[in-house]
Amino acid sequence: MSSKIIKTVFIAGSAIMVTAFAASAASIENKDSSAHTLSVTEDGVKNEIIIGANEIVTICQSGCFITMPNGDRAALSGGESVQIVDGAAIIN
Amino acid sequence: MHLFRRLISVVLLVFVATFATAQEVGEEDVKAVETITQKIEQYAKQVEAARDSDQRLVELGVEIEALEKELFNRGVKLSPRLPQIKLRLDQIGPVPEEGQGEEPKSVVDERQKLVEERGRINQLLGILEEQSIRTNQLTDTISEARRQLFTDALSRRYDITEAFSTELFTDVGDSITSLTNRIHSWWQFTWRFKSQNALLGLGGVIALTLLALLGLRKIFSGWIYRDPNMVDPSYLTRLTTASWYTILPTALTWLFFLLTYLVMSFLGVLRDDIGQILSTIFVCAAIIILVWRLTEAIFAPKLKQWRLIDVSDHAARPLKTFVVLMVVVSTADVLVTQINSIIGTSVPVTIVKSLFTAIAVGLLLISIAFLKPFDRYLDDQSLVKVAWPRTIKWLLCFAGAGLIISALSGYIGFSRFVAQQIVVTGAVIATMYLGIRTARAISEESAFVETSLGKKFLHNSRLTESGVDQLGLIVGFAVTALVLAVGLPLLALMWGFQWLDIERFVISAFTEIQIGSISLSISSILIGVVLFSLGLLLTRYFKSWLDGNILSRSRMDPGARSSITTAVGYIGVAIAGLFGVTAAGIELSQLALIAGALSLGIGFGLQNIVSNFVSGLILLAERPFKAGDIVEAGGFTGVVKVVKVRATEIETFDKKTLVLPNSEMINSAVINWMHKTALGRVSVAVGVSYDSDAQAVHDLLIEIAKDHPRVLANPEPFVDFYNFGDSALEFELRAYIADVGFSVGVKTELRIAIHQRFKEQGIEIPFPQRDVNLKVVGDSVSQVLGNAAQAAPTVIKTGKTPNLDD
Repeated sequence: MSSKIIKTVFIAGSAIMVTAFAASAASIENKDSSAHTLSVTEDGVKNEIIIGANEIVTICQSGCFITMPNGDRAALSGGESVQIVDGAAIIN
Repeated sequence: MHLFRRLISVVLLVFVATFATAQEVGEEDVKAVETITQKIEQYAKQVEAARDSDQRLVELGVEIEALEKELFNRGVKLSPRLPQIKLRLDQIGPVPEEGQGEEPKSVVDERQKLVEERGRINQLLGILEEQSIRTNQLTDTISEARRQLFTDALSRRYDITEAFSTELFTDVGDSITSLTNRIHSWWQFTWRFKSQNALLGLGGVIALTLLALLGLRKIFSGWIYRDPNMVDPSYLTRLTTASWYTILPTALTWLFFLLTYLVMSFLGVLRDDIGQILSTIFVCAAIIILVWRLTEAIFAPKLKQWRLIDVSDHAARPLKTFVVLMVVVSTADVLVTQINSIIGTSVPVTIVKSLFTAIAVGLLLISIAFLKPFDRYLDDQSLVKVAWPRTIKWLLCFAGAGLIISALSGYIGFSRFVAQQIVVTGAVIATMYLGIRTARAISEESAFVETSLGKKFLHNSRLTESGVDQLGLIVGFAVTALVLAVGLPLLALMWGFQWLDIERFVISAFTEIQIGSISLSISSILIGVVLFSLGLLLTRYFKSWLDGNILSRSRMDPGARSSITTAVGYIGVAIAGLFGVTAAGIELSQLALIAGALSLGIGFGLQNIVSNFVSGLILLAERPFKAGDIVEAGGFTGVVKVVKVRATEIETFDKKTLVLPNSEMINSAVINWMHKTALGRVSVAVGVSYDSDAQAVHDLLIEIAKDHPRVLANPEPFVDFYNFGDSALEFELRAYIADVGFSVGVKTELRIAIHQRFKEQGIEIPFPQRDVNLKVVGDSVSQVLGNAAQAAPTVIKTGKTPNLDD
């Protein structure tokens, strides 16, 4: 009986911890068959990231700007999921 | 940079002029972006101007952060339009090549407009992106400037001898006059115009506080009363009482201060400067009261049995006094600084004040270092005072001496900073220490059960005493975790870390730890563990639901039921494990790689276990026996209790549990008495005298079997006359019973019946018989017989059965 309660308490505790520290980031998925290079500005630093075909990367803990392969830009607040189709972004 | 800014302004102006008529992304957005750009430019100037003022820099930092958020929001608002435009452009299609026919003008116009809008949005987003880089640079500049200010303040050296000049006295005099003037004028004003309000408000607050005091006394006096006659209260009791002793009166005074301040400012009695001074006085007083109550609670100079820390009687009072004094000095320093900043700073006053604080704290630290706070009994009579552990003593000494020396050598800013840090850090560490002591006290064996919370648990839940005790362990652990989770970041904050840094550190600690090329994440491991545990729980519930609700109604035999639930359990564990492993961030392909590499080792090392596990699966599937069957295996006979992962548990009839590895059950012969049917045969052997009528005995045995209620009529019982034995005609009665579990009882009953009926019928069950032939050499037979008769009264069997009645 007690071990059950201990287990429940343990599980609840870890669940709370996990949710507390789950950071909200944006995920970018490349749906194309070729790799794309994105320019990402996060925390005031401009970076180029390469996303392989059908790869999903997680970026943007706290807001960022990205430039898509087709030249379109987008601002993300974190928490979005972006899909790249034919070099263009679909933001959800 | 300037050139860039100008360029942006020009571009923005052109936008406003050209695209004023645009529909979706209009003037408003352009203007907003322009405003943001201008604001950032202003902030950049302000940051440069505010390089001397830490407070202003902090404010600017906050404002810039807010602006950065606004900037992002603006960008996020603009972004979704681009995919829409792209979609529409795709729908319209590319410009037709020459000779493919003309497009309608509306299409051309729309395309033109869309392309222009797309360009505009991209340009705006580009500007925002540049500005986000700029804000980050500004934030960096601010922290750099603050760091510089801080280092300057710490490393700046003042001339102390110059501070003690006539200027000091005139400055002090001026300050006091200025302060009294301010207070006087404020008092005059208040008295003349708002005296009624003020008196009423203050009276109300005092009355309210008194009322609260009386009420609280009535309710809580038992909680905070430390009975001097009580003998040896437990640590938890001491701690709870000490907490209430500290918290309740402190909270009441704080409430009084807060109410007074609120009422006075609500009534408009407080002027700006007076309000600031008063609030600082209140805060300082509140801190002093808290520390005073806390030290009294911890050191309890007069109530030895209520003391929370094991220091001796003679050290408790000085310790308490020193700590309170230290806090009084530090808060006084804060108060004087606040007053100084309101009525105008004077360098000599600042220097002397900081010097005084640093030296006072330093001396107090050294005094504490030289206390001998512990008692040790050498024997029953003689008692020795023991000093602090050497490290603590010298640490305190060095800190105190360092403070005094640095202050005297002119590093006022540094010594004041260190003095404050020592006091505040000391307070936090002391509180954390108490918290951890509490946790330890709660986790001690049967300590939690004694508390009121534990008692409540014991009464209101189904927990047993040991369960509540284990709960105490968890509570203790949780308290420790809480103390560390609050205390460590607080310490880090006080030592100059930024909240954002701490947050980032914690998040990165929980999301990504790099060890070489391997990256681990505590959060995902935790998620994995949680998922696995949830999966196990779900499996358990599903199993009990399946067994209780579905299988019990299907009239399956218990063995099959247990097989099915066990199999379901295995599948559940496997699924939960897969989920857990995947959620923990371990890719299954990696796992396969590892498994492949290790399979040889595992193959050898875990050979037995794997073979037992597989055997267990085969047993569950094939079911040569099931739970409840009576089996003979490994030289034992017993009832199968459960088929487990590795071994089968068999309970022998003398209630021993036999744990037989599953592979053994597969590889060697197992006799199952109850396979398919529980039908069993019992056989009872009996021998009768050669004088008996064999046919009559046969019939009688059959009759006896048929008379027994448990013996089946079909298959019929039969009698096997199998041997002419040495002493008897040997028969065996074989009878079938429906449940082999009763065989022992049935056999016994049959034997009783046979004995009884044979006796009634006069059928004799003979003892073992031997014919003994004497070969006499030399002496006469009668002589030998005579000697033997004299030596012992021997019955000489002569082939005739002895009569039992003789």
